[in-house]
Order: sequence, then structure tokens, then C-alpha cells
Amino acid sequence: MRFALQIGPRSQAAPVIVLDVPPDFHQVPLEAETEVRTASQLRVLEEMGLSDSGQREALSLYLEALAVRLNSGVVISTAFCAVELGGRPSTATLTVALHATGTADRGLAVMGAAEALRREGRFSAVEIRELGTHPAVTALAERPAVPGDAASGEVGKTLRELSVLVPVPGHDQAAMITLSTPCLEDWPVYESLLLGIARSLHVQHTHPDFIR
Amino acid sequence: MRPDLILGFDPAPAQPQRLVVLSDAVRRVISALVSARSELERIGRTGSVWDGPVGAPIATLLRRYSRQMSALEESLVDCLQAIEAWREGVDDRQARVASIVASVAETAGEPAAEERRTRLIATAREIGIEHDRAAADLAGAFEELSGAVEQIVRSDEDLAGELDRALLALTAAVDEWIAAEAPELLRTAIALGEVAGLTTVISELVGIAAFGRSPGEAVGVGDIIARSPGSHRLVRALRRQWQEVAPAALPEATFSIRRSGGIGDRLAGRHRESVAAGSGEPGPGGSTGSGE
Repeated sequence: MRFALQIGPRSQAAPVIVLDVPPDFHQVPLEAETEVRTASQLRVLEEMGLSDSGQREALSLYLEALAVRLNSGVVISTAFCAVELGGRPSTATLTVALHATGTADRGLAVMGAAEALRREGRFSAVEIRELGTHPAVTALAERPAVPGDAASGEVGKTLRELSVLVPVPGHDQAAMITLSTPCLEDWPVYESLLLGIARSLHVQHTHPDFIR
Repeated sequence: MRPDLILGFDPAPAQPQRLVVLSDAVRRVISALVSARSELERIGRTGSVWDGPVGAPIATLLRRYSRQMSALEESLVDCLQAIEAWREGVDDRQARVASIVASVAETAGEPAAEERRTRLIATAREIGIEHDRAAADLAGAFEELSGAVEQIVRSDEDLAGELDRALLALTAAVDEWIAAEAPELLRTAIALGEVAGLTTVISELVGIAAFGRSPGEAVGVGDIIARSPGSHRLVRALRRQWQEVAPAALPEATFSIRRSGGIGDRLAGRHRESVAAGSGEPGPGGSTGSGE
């Protein structure tokens, strides 16, 4: 599966950032047009193979709520995977934002972002790395669901998040990709998967029109 | 037996143990140089984070530093090889001299051995010439090393100063970038984390994962959403979004008397009509009627 992130207005010639994502991830439909979005939501329901009408309805409502929540934000794509790893159910989410860096100097964007994230203090490790041909920043955080974070007030699972900021070559934009999982025992798999996705970033000049 | 006492001269004077100490020291310096140069090359190689207008001058300087270190490294390696060759040669020559010294000593006082002694001493002199040549080679290697060091010292390039200035410029550019871009970057990072948390709920909604409870345990959809990290933020965000949208989308409620045909007018008219039909007196709403 490919995530296509459009830079600028949608047109045939507009550059598109493409990320190769494993097919295990199901993208939450975020299309602006209601009809298109509804069709995509139905497709996700079919892909999930849910037969229970309650589950279908709950997921359908939740997908729509997420789409509404995200329609004006910076997050342009979110996807989830629910797989079996080592005989256990395992899940992770992948969220992607396109972030304006204010410079086409990828080195400056990476060094600035790394320093900004370090100073902010919520990340336990911030590193500058080379991912394929891309300089990138990785930032690791663990977010325990402390009492009060969940609506029930109950202490939830700890989510581990790895964010990667990859400046787009030739553009003053960066893709920021976050992988989050409560399945800490599967972390090495998810970490390597995210770094692979970040490595795959490339700019395509012909609009792929919903590459999947 | 001391050669100078037996032969009248020492053809191969040297202290091999000191050469061991010297070659070990040179080897450690080379090892440190190789490690530092490799690190500089790693940091400064093209295509990395330095590949941009702000970082490129630093990468260029690092590469120049690396080249200088490489030249010094080569001279030191040559020098080490010369020391090793000298040390091995000294061992060999001193062994040969020791043998000659022993033979000369054995034949001391024997007139019949005069010719043999002369030959042995001539051989010792040849060893001395060989030793001097080897010493000259060693000195040459040190001269080359000295030249390489001098070249770095005498160079017009102020690499350290340039690097210092480039790093200061980089620091200023990074600080400027942070001042302009960091708030938005952090908002994006936080938003991504929040959305990730919200998306995680889906796995539990569809029954694939059961975080914090036993698989198969009956839990309502509302409970699942409520116990998931960040779910309340979705609810709050939706409410907030509604609050932001609602006032702008809905027309302002008004009971303005100036608006003819408004719901107030119609109600007032109807009230007047009903009042007129009943008591024949205008009701309290009459003063806000459409005629005014």
C-alpha cells in the first residue's frame, strides 16, 4: 500500500510525497467529500470482515468521528493494523502529517527539529539519523494513560510512540510519521517497520490518484 | 662482549628496547588518528545532514581536516614501517656483530688467524656502513613526518577558526529556525500522538485486541471508547468543534420589532387577533406589532 501526500493544490502535475506502507495497515478514510469518504469507510468495514452489526456500527461511527476530528488538522493520514505476532494479537497505528519546515535546507530542518524536540522534553530520546538518502529526526516517547487521561479515569495501557521527521527533498515540507503501539513486546518489529516506511519516502510528479 | 673493546669500534650501535617503546607510541598515535579521521569522514560525508547551505561549509571544513589528518597518518605509517625495519635490521646486525666479536676474541693472540681477523673486521665495517644507511632511512622517515606536521602548522588555512565561525553560524541558524518553526512542529507532534491514540481504539472496537481486560470479556462500545487513552479528547474536540461551528452556522435569534414578517410579528399579530376576537383590548404584545 502507498500513502500519497499531496504538496499544494490537487492537479495532475502536482508533486506528491509517496510512502510505501505494508498492506497490513488499514487507512482511516479522511476524504473531504462525504460520498467518497462513506464509500471508503464501507470498504474498511468489508476489509475488517466484521459480521456483527453492533461492531460494524460502532466502527463506522468511530471512523466518521475520527474523520470529523481530523478534517481541519495537520494530520493527513492515519492507519491501523491489527495482526498476530508470535501468536498474540498486536496492533499499531500510523499517523502522518505534512509539516511546513520553512526551509528547503534539509540539514537545517533536521537539526532545528531535533533541537526543538530535545528542548521540549516529552521525548525520551531524540536522534538525527540517515534513513536511506534522507536525513531524519527520530523522537521516542512513552505516554502512559494516567488517571484522568481516559474518560473512565482508569489507568490504561502505555503507548510507545516513535515519530520520524523526514524533510522532503527539494521542498520546504517534511513528512512527520508517528507509529504508536501499546504492544511493547513487539516494539522491534514496529520500529524497523516505521524506519522502512520513512526510508521509502520519495516525490512523484505525476499524481498517482489514490495509490493503494 | 662489547664490540668497541674487541674491534675498536661498534658497527651497529642501538638500543632495541627503546625502539619498541617508540614504535608502540607511534602505533597508538596512528590508531587515534585513524579513529578521529573516520569519525570526521562519517560526520562530514556528502548526503548526510550537512548536505545543505547551512551545513555544507562545515562538511567542507571537516573534509579538509580529514585530508590533513590523512596526510599525517600516511607519514606516521611510513615512519612506523621505518622504525620496524630499523628494529629488525638492528637485531640482525647486532647478532652478526656479536658473532664477529666472538670469533675475533677467540683468535686473539694467534698470529695464524691474522688474515681471518682482518676479514672479520672488514665484514664488521660493512655491517657498520649498512647500519648507517639504515639509520639514514630512519632519519628520512622522521624528516618526512616532520615535514607533514610543518605543512599543517605553516598552512595559511585557519581551519579551526573557520570551523568555529561556521559552527557559530549554524547554531544561530538553528536557533532562528527553532524560534520560527518549533511551536508549530510541537503542535504537529502532539497532534500525531493524539490521533495515534484515538486510532488505537479501533483495534479494540473491532474485537481484535483487548487491552487491559480479558479477551472475550463483554464490554460495551461506550466502555471501550471511554477506557481508551485520549478518547475523552475526541469527545471534547467534537464538542468544541460543534461549539465553534454552531454559532457561526445558525442565524442569530432575534425578536427585533423592526423586522416585518418575522416570527415575532406573526406571533404578535396572531395574539392581537385573538385578543381582538376575545376582549376587544390590545394585549401586551400589541405594542411590538408589525405596524410599528
